[in-house]
Amino acid sequence: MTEKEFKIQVLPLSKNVYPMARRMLLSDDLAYDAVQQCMMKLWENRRQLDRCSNIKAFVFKVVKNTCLDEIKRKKPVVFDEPSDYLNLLPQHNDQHEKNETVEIIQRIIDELPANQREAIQLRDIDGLDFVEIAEILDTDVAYARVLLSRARKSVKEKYEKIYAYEAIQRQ
Amino acid sequence: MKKYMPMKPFNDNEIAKRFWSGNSSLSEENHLLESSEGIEKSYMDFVLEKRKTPTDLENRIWKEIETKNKQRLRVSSFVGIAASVVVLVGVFGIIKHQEHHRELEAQFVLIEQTLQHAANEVSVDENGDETVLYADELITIVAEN
Repeated sequence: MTEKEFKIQVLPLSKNVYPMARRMLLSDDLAYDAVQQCMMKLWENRRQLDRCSNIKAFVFKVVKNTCLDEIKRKKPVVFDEPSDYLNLLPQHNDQHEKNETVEIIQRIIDELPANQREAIQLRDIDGLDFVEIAEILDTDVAYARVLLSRARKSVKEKYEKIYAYEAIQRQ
Repeated sequence: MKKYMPMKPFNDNEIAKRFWSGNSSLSEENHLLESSEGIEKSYMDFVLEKRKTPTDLENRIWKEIETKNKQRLRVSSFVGIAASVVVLVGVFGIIKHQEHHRELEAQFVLIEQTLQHAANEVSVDENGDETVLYADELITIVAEN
Protein backbone atom coordinates (compact mmCIF):
# COMPACT_ATOMS: atom_id res chain seq x y z
CA MET A 1 0.00 0.00 0.00
CA THR A 2 1.44 3.35 -1.03
CA GLU A 3 1.38 6.54 1.06
CA LYS A 4 -1.39 7.90 -1.16
CA GLU A 5 -3.50 4.75 -0.76
CA PHE A 6 -2.93 4.78 3.00
CA LYS A 7 -4.08 8.39 3.17
CA ILE A 8 -7.21 7.60 1.18
CA GLN A 9 -8.18 4.18 2.55
CA VAL A 10 -6.89 4.02 6.13
CA LEU A 11 -6.20 7.44 7.62
CA PRO A 12 -9.80 8.76 7.22
CA LEU A 13 -10.96 5.82 9.37
CA SER A 14 -9.41 7.64 12.36
CA LYS A 15 -12.65 9.62 12.55
CA ASN A 16 -14.72 6.43 12.58
CA VAL A 17 -12.70 4.59 15.20
CA TYR A 18 -12.17 7.55 17.52
CA PRO A 19 -15.69 7.44 19.08
CA MET A 20 -15.26 3.72 19.82
CA ALA A 21 -11.87 4.34 21.47
CA ARG A 22 -13.40 7.11 23.57
CA ARG A 23 -16.31 4.88 24.60
CA MET A 24 -13.93 2.19 25.74
CA LEU A 25 -11.26 4.32 27.41
CA LEU A 26 -13.57 7.06 28.77
CA SER A 27 -11.02 9.72 27.93
CA ASP A 28 -10.41 11.95 24.92
CA ASP A 29 -6.65 11.93 25.44
CA LEU A 30 -6.40 8.16 25.82
CA ALA A 31 -8.67 7.68 22.82
CA TYR A 32 -6.46 9.96 20.72
CA ASP A 33 -3.32 8.12 21.85
CA ALA A 34 -4.88 4.73 21.06
CA VAL A 35 -6.01 5.80 17.59
CA GLN A 36 -2.65 7.38 16.85
CA GLN A 37 -0.79 4.29 18.07
CA CYS A 38 -2.95 2.07 15.84
CA MET A 39 -2.48 4.29 12.80
CA MET A 40 1.28 4.20 13.36
CA LYS A 41 1.18 0.38 13.59
CA LEU A 42 -0.94 0.18 10.44
CA TRP A 43 1.41 2.54 8.59
CA GLU A 44 4.41 0.42 9.56
CA ASN A 45 2.62 -2.74 8.41
CA ARG A 46 0.92 -1.16 5.40
CA ARG A 47 2.22 -3.88 3.05
CA GLN A 48 0.12 -6.46 4.92
CA LEU A 49 -3.00 -4.31 4.47
CA ASP A 50 -3.00 -5.21 0.77
CA ARG A 51 -3.90 -8.75 1.77
CA CYS A 52 -6.79 -7.55 3.97
CA SER A 53 -10.25 -8.17 2.49
CA ASN A 54 -12.13 -5.64 4.66
CA ILE A 55 -9.84 -2.83 5.74
CA LYS A 56 -12.51 -0.95 7.70
CA ALA A 57 -13.43 -3.95 9.86
CA PHE A 58 -9.74 -4.77 10.31
CA VAL A 59 -8.92 -1.25 11.50
CA PHE A 60 -11.85 -1.37 13.95
CA LYS A 61 -10.60 -4.69 15.30
CA VAL A 62 -7.06 -3.34 15.72
CA VAL A 63 -8.31 -0.29 17.63
CA LYS A 64 -10.68 -2.38 19.75
CA ASN A 65 -7.87 -4.76 20.73
CA THR A 66 -5.53 -1.86 21.47
CA CYS A 67 -8.15 -0.31 23.75
CA LEU A 68 -8.75 -3.66 25.50
CA ASP A 69 -4.98 -3.98 26.07
CA GLU A 70 -4.90 -0.44 27.45
CA ILE A 71 -7.78 -1.25 29.83
CA LYS A 72 -5.99 -4.42 30.99
CA ARG A 73 -2.70 -2.55 31.39
CA LYS A 74 -4.25 0.05 33.70
CA LYS A 75 -3.72 -0.70 37.36
CA PRO A 76 -6.69 -0.25 39.67
CA VAL A 77 -6.54 3.06 41.51
CA VAL A 78 -7.58 3.37 45.12
CA PHE A 79 -9.20 6.70 45.98
CA ASP A 80 -9.18 8.13 49.47
CA GLU A 81 -11.87 10.71 48.78
CA PRO A 82 -14.82 10.53 46.35
CA SER A 83 -13.75 13.91 44.97
CA ASP A 84 -10.47 12.36 43.77
CA TYR A 85 -12.47 10.01 41.56
CA LEU A 86 -14.76 12.79 40.32
CA ASN A 87 -11.73 14.82 39.25
CA LEU A 88 -10.59 11.97 37.02
CA LEU A 89 -13.88 11.61 35.16
CA PRO A 90 -13.94 12.99 31.62
CA GLN A 91 -14.82 16.65 31.64
CA HIS A 92 -17.94 17.40 29.67
CA ASN A 93 -18.77 20.83 28.42
CA ASP A 94 -21.84 22.69 29.64
CA GLN A 95 -23.84 21.94 26.53
CA HIS A 96 -23.27 18.23 26.99
CA GLU A 97 -24.30 18.36 30.64
CA LYS A 98 -27.47 20.18 29.73
CA ASN A 99 -28.33 17.70 27.05
CA GLU A 100 -30.48 15.38 29.11
CA THR A 101 -31.70 13.42 26.12
CA VAL A 102 -28.19 12.38 25.23
CA GLU A 103 -27.56 11.23 28.77
CA ILE A 104 -30.86 9.33 28.97
CA ILE A 105 -30.21 7.48 25.71
CA GLN A 106 -26.66 6.77 26.77
CA ARG A 107 -27.94 5.28 30.02
CA ILE A 108 -30.46 3.12 28.14
CA ILE A 109 -27.72 1.85 25.81
CA ASP A 110 -25.40 1.18 28.75
CA GLU A 111 -28.06 -1.07 30.26
CA LEU A 112 -28.39 -3.22 27.14
CA PRO A 113 -26.79 -6.68 27.04
CA ALA A 114 -23.14 -6.37 25.96
CA ASN A 115 -23.52 -7.81 22.43
CA GLN A 116 -26.62 -5.69 21.68
CA ARG A 117 -24.86 -2.61 23.05
CA GLU A 118 -21.85 -3.23 20.86
CA ALA A 119 -24.02 -3.84 17.79
CA ILE A 120 -26.01 -0.61 18.21
CA GLN A 121 -22.85 1.42 18.86
CA LEU A 122 -21.02 -0.04 15.86
CA ARG A 123 -23.98 0.63 13.59
CA ASP A 124 -25.32 3.97 14.79
CA ILE A 125 -22.28 5.75 16.17
CA ASP A 126 -19.53 4.18 14.07
CA GLY A 127 -21.65 3.86 10.91
CA LEU A 128 -20.62 0.32 9.97
CA ASP A 129 -22.51 -2.02 7.65
CA PHE A 130 -23.67 -5.47 8.80
CA VAL A 131 -20.75 -7.33 7.21
CA GLU A 132 -18.28 -5.17 9.14
CA ILE A 133 -20.27 -5.47 12.38
CA ALA A 134 -20.43 -9.26 11.99
CA GLU A 135 -16.67 -9.42 11.43
CA ILE A 136 -15.91 -7.29 14.49
CA LEU A 137 -18.32 -9.23 16.70
CA ASP A 138 -17.06 -12.55 15.29
CA THR A 139 -20.56 -13.56 14.28
CA ASP A 140 -22.61 -13.82 11.10
CA VAL A 141 -24.52 -11.04 9.36
CA ALA A 142 -27.97 -12.45 10.23
CA TYR A 143 -27.16 -12.51 13.96
CA ALA A 144 -25.70 -9.00 13.77
CA ARG A 145 -29.04 -7.86 12.30
CA VAL A 146 -30.94 -9.58 15.11
CA LEU A 147 -28.76 -7.94 17.74
CA LEU A 148 -29.27 -4.49 16.23
CA SER A 149 -33.00 -5.02 15.87
CA ARG A 150 -33.38 -6.07 19.52
CA ALA A 151 -31.16 -3.22 20.71
CA ARG A 152 -33.06 -0.53 18.80
CA LYS A 153 -36.45 -1.86 19.86
CA SER A 154 -35.33 -1.90 23.46
CA VAL A 155 -33.94 1.66 23.24
CA LYS A 156 -37.16 2.92 21.67
CA GLU A 157 -39.41 1.26 24.25
CA LYS A 158 -37.38 2.45 27.23
CA TYR A 159 -36.96 5.96 25.87
CA GLU A 160 -40.69 6.24 25.12
CA LYS A 161 -41.50 5.15 28.68
CA ILE A 162 -39.16 7.76 30.15
CA TYR A 163 -40.40 10.39 27.69
CA ALA A 164 -44.08 9.63 28.55
CA TYR A 165 -43.31 9.68 32.26
CA GLU A 166 -41.59 13.07 31.93
CA ALA A 167 -44.53 14.41 29.89
CA ILE A 168 -46.94 13.37 32.64
CA GLN A 169 -44.68 14.97 35.23
CA ARG A 170 -44.68 18.23 33.30
CA GLN A 171 -48.51 18.35 33.09
CA MET B 1 -31.50 8.83 -24.90
CA LYS B 2 -31.17 7.50 -21.41
CA LYS B 3 -34.02 8.43 -19.09
CA TYR B 4 -33.16 9.28 -15.52
CA MET B 5 -35.74 8.30 -12.96
CA PRO B 6 -36.27 10.87 -10.24
CA MET B 7 -34.90 9.72 -6.91
CA LYS B 8 -37.56 8.09 -4.76
CA PRO B 9 -38.46 10.56 -2.03
CA PHE B 10 -37.84 9.34 1.48
CA ASN B 11 -40.97 8.39 3.39
CA ASP B 12 -39.90 9.38 6.86
CA ASN B 13 -42.51 7.32 8.69
CA GLU B 14 -41.60 4.17 6.79
CA ILE B 15 -37.91 4.80 7.35
CA ALA B 16 -38.50 5.39 11.06
CA LYS B 17 -40.40 2.08 11.31
CA ARG B 18 -37.65 0.24 9.49
CA PHE B 19 -35.02 2.00 11.60
CA TRP B 20 -36.44 0.90 14.96
CA SER B 21 -36.89 -2.66 13.74
CA GLY B 22 -33.28 -2.69 12.55
CA ASN B 23 -34.09 -3.04 8.85
CA SER B 24 -33.10 0.40 7.51
CA SER B 25 -30.19 0.93 5.14
CA LEU B 26 -27.20 3.16 5.88
CA SER B 27 -28.44 5.77 3.39
CA GLU B 28 -31.84 5.83 5.09
CA GLU B 29 -30.15 6.25 8.45
CA ASN B 30 -28.07 9.10 7.05
CA HIS B 31 -31.31 10.70 5.86
CA LEU B 32 -32.72 10.41 9.39
CA LEU B 33 -29.58 12.07 10.70
CA GLU B 34 -30.23 15.03 8.44
CA SER B 35 -33.95 15.33 8.95
CA SER B 36 -36.11 13.66 11.54
CA GLU B 37 -38.63 14.55 14.19
CA GLY B 38 -39.79 13.36 17.57
CA ILE B 39 -38.08 10.35 19.09
CA GLU B 40 -35.98 9.80 15.95
CA LYS B 41 -34.63 13.35 16.24
CA SER B 42 -33.72 12.80 19.89
CA TYR B 43 -31.91 9.60 18.97
CA MET B 44 -30.12 11.22 16.02
CA ASP B 45 -29.02 14.13 18.22
CA PHE B 46 -27.51 11.52 20.53
CA VAL B 47 -25.78 9.84 17.58
CA LEU B 48 -24.38 13.14 16.29
CA GLU B 49 -23.13 14.04 19.76
CA LYS B 50 -21.38 10.68 20.09
CA ARG B 51 -19.86 10.91 16.60
CA LYS B 52 -18.01 14.11 17.45
CA THR B 53 -14.26 13.89 16.89
CA PRO B 54 -11.46 16.36 17.55
CA THR B 55 -10.95 18.88 14.76
CA ASP B 56 -8.25 18.06 12.28
CA LEU B 57 -7.81 14.54 13.72
CA GLU B 58 -6.49 13.00 10.50
CA ASN B 59 -3.92 15.74 9.87
CA ARG B 60 -2.69 15.63 13.46
CA ILE B 61 -2.22 11.88 13.31
CA TRP B 62 -0.50 12.05 9.92
CA LYS B 63 1.87 14.78 11.16
CA GLU B 64 2.84 12.56 14.10
CA ILE B 65 3.43 9.63 11.75
CA GLU B 66 5.62 11.84 9.54
CA THR B 67 7.59 13.15 12.55
CA LYS B 68 8.27 9.62 13.77
CA ASN B 69 9.25 8.56 10.25
CA LYS B 70 11.76 11.42 10.06
CA GLN B 71 13.17 10.54 13.48
CA ARG B 72 13.50 6.91 12.43
CA LEU B 73 15.15 7.99 9.15
CA ARG B 74 17.59 10.18 11.10
CA VAL B 75 18.47 7.32 13.46
CA SER B 76 18.89 4.87 10.59
CA SER B 77 21.05 7.41 8.69
CA PHE B 78 23.21 7.84 11.79
CA VAL B 79 23.51 4.07 12.19
CA GLY B 80 24.33 3.78 8.48
CA ILE B 81 27.05 6.42 8.71
CA ALA B 82 28.47 4.82 11.87
CA ALA B 83 28.48 1.41 10.18
CA SER B 84 30.21 2.86 7.10
CA VAL B 85 32.90 4.43 9.31
CA VAL B 86 33.44 1.11 11.09
CA VAL B 87 33.72 -0.68 7.74
CA LEU B 88 36.16 1.94 6.40
CA VAL B 89 38.32 1.73 9.52
CA GLY B 90 38.23 -2.07 9.26
CA VAL B 91 39.22 -2.03 5.57
CA PHE B 92 41.99 0.50 6.30
CA GLY B 93 43.26 -1.72 9.13
CA ILE B 94 43.27 -4.80 6.90
CA ILE B 95 45.11 -2.92 4.15
CA LYS B 96 47.66 -1.65 6.70
CA HIS B 97 48.10 -5.14 8.08
CA GLN B 98 48.63 -6.55 4.59
CA GLU B 99 51.16 -3.82 3.80
CA HIS B 100 53.04 -4.61 7.00
CA HIS B 101 52.95 -8.29 6.10
CA ARG B 102 54.31 -7.52 2.65
CA GLU B 103 57.10 -5.36 4.15
CA LEU B 104 58.03 -8.18 6.51
CA GLU B 105 58.04 -10.60 3.59
CA ALA B 106 60.29 -8.29 1.59
CA GLN B 107 62.63 -7.94 4.56
CA PHE B 108 62.65 -11.70 5.00
CA VAL B 109 63.47 -12.24 1.33
CA LEU B 110 66.30 -9.72 1.65
CA ILE B 111 67.65 -11.44 4.75
CA GLU B 112 67.30 -14.80 3.05
CA GLN B 113 69.19 -13.52 0.03
CA THR B 114 71.91 -12.00 2.23
CA LEU B 115 72.26 -15.20 4.17
CA GLN B 116 72.33 -17.20 0.97
CA HIS B 117 75.00 -14.90 -0.34
CA ALA B 118 76.98 -15.22 2.90
CA ALA B 119 76.56 -18.96 2.81
CA ASN B 120 77.89 -19.08 -0.70
CA GLU B 121 80.88 -16.98 0.37
CA VAL B 122 81.78 -19.38 3.13
CA SER B 123 80.65 -22.50 1.37
CA VAL B 124 82.85 -25.52 1.71
CA ASP B 125 83.76 -27.65 -1.17
CA GLU B 126 82.20 -30.88 -0.13
CA ASN B 127 83.82 -32.74 -2.95
CA GLY B 128 87.33 -31.69 -1.77
CA ASP B 129 89.44 -33.19 0.95
CA GLU B 130 87.49 -31.67 3.80
CA THR B 131 85.03 -33.17 6.21
CA VAL B 132 82.64 -31.10 8.25
CA LEU B 133 83.00 -32.20 11.82
CA TYR B 134 80.60 -29.81 13.45
CA ALA B 135 78.34 -27.05 12.28
CA ASP B 136 75.89 -24.74 13.97
CA GLU B 137 74.66 -21.22 13.42
CA LEU B 138 77.99 -19.65 14.39
CA ILE B 139 80.71 -22.18 13.92
CA THR B 140 81.63 -24.74 11.33
CA ILE B 141 84.50 -27.05 12.14
CA VAL B 142 86.15 -28.55 9.11
CA ALA B 143 88.74 -31.27 9.08
CA GLU B 144 91.17 -31.59 6.26
CA ASN B 145 91.81 -35.09 5.12
